[in-house]
Amino acid sequence: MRTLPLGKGDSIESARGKGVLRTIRGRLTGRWLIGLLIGLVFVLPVYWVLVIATGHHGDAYAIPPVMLPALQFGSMWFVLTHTNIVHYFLNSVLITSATIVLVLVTGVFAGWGLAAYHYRGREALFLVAIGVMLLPQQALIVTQFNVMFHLGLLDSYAGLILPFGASSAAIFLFRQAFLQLPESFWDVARLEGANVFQFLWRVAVPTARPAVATVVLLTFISSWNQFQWPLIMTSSKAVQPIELALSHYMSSFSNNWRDLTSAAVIALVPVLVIFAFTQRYMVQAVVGEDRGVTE
Amino acid sequence: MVMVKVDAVTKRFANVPALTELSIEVKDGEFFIMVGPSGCGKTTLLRILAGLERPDSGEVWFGDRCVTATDPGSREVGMVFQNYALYPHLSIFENLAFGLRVRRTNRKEVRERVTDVAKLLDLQELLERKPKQLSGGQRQRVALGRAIMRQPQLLLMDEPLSNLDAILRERMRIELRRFHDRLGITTIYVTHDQKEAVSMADRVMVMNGGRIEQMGSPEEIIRHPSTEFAARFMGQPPMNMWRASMEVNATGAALISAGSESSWTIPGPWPRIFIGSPHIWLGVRPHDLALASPGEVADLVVTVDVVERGGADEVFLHCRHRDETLVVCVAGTRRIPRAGEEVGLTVRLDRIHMFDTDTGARIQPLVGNGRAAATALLVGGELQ
Amino acid sequence: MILDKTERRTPGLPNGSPIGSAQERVSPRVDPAGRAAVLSLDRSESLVARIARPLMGYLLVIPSLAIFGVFFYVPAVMLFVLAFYHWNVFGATTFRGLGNFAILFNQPLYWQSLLTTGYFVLVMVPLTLLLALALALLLREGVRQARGGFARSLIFLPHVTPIIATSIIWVWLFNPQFGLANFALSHVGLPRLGWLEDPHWALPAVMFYTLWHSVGLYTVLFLAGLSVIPEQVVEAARVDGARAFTMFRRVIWPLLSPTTFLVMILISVNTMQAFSQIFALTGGAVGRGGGPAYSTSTDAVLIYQTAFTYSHFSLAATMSLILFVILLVITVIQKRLSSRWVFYR
Repeated sequence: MRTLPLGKGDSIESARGKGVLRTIRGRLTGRWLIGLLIGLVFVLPVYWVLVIATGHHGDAYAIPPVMLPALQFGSMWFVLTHTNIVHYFLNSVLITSATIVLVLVTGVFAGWGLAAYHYRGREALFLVAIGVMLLPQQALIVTQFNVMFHLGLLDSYAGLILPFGASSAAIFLFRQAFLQLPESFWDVARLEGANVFQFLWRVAVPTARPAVATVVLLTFISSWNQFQWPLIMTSSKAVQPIELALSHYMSSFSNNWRDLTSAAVIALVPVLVIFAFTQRYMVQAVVGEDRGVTE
Repeated sequence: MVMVKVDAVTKRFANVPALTELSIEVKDGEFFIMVGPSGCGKTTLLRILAGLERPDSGEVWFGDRCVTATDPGSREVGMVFQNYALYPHLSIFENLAFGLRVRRTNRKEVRERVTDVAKLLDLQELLERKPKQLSGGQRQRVALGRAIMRQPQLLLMDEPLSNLDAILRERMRIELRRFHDRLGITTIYVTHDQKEAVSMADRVMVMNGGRIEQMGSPEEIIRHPSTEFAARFMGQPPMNMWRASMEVNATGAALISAGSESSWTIPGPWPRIFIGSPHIWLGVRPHDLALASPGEVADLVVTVDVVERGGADEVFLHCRHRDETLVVCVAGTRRIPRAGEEVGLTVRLDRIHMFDTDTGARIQPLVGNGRAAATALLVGGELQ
Repeated sequence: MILDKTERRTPGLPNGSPIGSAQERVSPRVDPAGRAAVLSLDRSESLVARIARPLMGYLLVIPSLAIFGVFFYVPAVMLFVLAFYHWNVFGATTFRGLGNFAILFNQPLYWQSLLTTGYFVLVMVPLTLLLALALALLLREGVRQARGGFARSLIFLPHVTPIIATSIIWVWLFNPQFGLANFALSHVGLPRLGWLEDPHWALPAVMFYTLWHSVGLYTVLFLAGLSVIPEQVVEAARVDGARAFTMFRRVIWPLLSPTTFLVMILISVNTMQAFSQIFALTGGAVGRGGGPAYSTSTDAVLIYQTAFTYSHFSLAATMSLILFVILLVITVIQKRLSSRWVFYR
């Protein structure tokens, strides 16, 4: 039986010399090009949203499809001034920022509460906090509606924010970060007369900055992209977020692709901008969350 | 600047006793060092003094104030941790100012206090830096600075030098002692390094298994260790210790058979209770052994095993004596025997130590009215 | 009190009085009455301390647990109750036993939705898995390089885009008259399709979108799994081109199998719960979601419609309970076979 040439890499390289290295580099470049092309294919639909939104009238019906944006912002201006999209956008901003703040606060509190204190049932509480992720969302939506109805939270900002004001991932990540803090950090704070909240605010959270960044990104994505929940839990436009507005426009603008994509651009821009600046970090956040939480 | 009293403090962790009915008094302005192996309870006691742990029973007094239930932040205590515990995200200035910021002290006062402390510890140049950019010794000084920021009555140090390299540690020992003498703050210091205890302390407490083995000045503990544990733990190199038997004759003198041909006679009077159980621990410090001069009668005959050069003119001979290993300290100026050589040793009989093998307690000659005291002890011994 | 203290201070010494010393000797731990009183005071203090510290721990966890409890655990428990009742949100409830199940199982639509869901999942799992794995292997060497990371980011980007916003462009792509999908098909000589308007092709169209939107996530999960495989193994395989496939089969695939398993389960539970993209792509906004002709009406879509379009809360809860149990079983099996948890998102 042939064994796998695990340690053979070196000898092969040295035997065949530079030629092999060049081939590898050539292949790497080739692969990189293919990877880049595939990547571009994946971004193409998003790109087209921009092209059609800023294109000429009728560009949406052109065959072959238009590939370059004409940078006409008339349609965008129309959507901004003649629809309520700004209002929906601001709703989304409000809901997302409030959710982020709330998730950070509850996550930091619970993370510290589950990391720093020893008490009976701590492990059980941790499992309860983490176990929420095991509940399948689609199976809960009906009874969640019932609960929301009886709490009077339907059709309110609170109803869109509060249920997502705590996150298992945030609790997990903060607990993890706080477990790594030397115990003496907390001792010093106590000796200097700081209370728990002063300690968390001045020491624990600033030293757990990577966890904060991850939690902010994850919460931003899930909150900004929220659709099904507001679809079911709201009926008045006053509190609805932008994704729901787009859904309304899909019916009312029917085939007016330019206005429709202009509205989509407005929902997409915050995500794209933040992604552009944090792309590596965002990927790590999502993978890290999955890895961190699952292992 | 306060007197500290610990009264019958007991502390258990998950029912494992860390401290048992422990009482100490530390004088105003004293440099008091608690020394012992890891797990002996010294750090627990320090944390109880700081208020970071609550004793299960017993009381802690600072002067005439009972602080047993007082929060650490209200105790006016400064503490230096082994890992310094400087906050990595804050500048040195902010690390020093932390306690004042938490108390919402006004900016001007914060600046003044930080400047004062920085001047005192020579930290002015470092104030804008982050802890990561500092050397071990500098971090140590910052940690000390933070501990005295709020002008504490009591300074607690938990192995503050153990993260430093050997040379720096030597220097910081002197600096810490000088610092203490200048400020005069009552200082309680925890270490597992007996050398630190001997070189810095006014008074040392040797701890083991949550109990006090001995308390006293460094000289006292080195000269008259009151337990076998204290004898073994304190002093460098450690005391040679082997089993011997002891007999007290009619005149009260002790006859000690230490494994050599003739027994040694130590004038007494010694308590007679040990006649029944002659096995004792015999301890001799390496410095109290010497090579016998030619013609001198040797108290012990040993075989040299390893010759270890110590400092400038000190040599340690690791010798075999039957099954035991003995260390002998000799001046490097004279002829040094080679490994494998058989040599005779003389023992300073006035400096040998004897301990009860059962209790570990030091066997003391009787003082004053010897006979009466001996009788009293005899009765006590029989009772136990 | 002062007297107590003086007595306390000399606990170990016989205090001269024969009674005192007798007490000492009988049991040194039990002290004269005064001491015991002080001791009990000490104990009550430490009891407060013993409670106060953990209490803070509990207090800090409570906000999160309250949210989880009210909005997630309570609804989950309610599922197990309300599935056996006839009810609506306004509160009328009558016990119905297995009645809801009987009604449900007599609904051809329900069975059809299960079939649709099964079809969706069975196609999506291998398709997504293979594509994600292929992309991960392609991008493999790029993980630690900036430019490779860029391609990875591009593939990942769709996953973080809002579903409705990007569904819009996919509806346009699938437009039977001028959509790019048909343009591409006719370009290579294939017949044009009705896509989202054709009962046979609507679900595949949804699949394309779902693949596009989610494959980036699984690709980076695979990349994370690959990154723990020693570099030399892969390098060796790459140099020895002829045996690259053997190397993959013998080295990479076995080493990657925990990740593969996790990704497989993630794809199943996520596709089983697909809702927003189906709703958006098939015209949910105009009340046509799940069409045409119920061809895209998966379990999740049917639950939504039953509850919120037709207000049959009892039936919707019953369907939810069944879905809940199915997904829980998958999770339990997954947990049995692997040390890692899989989470629904």
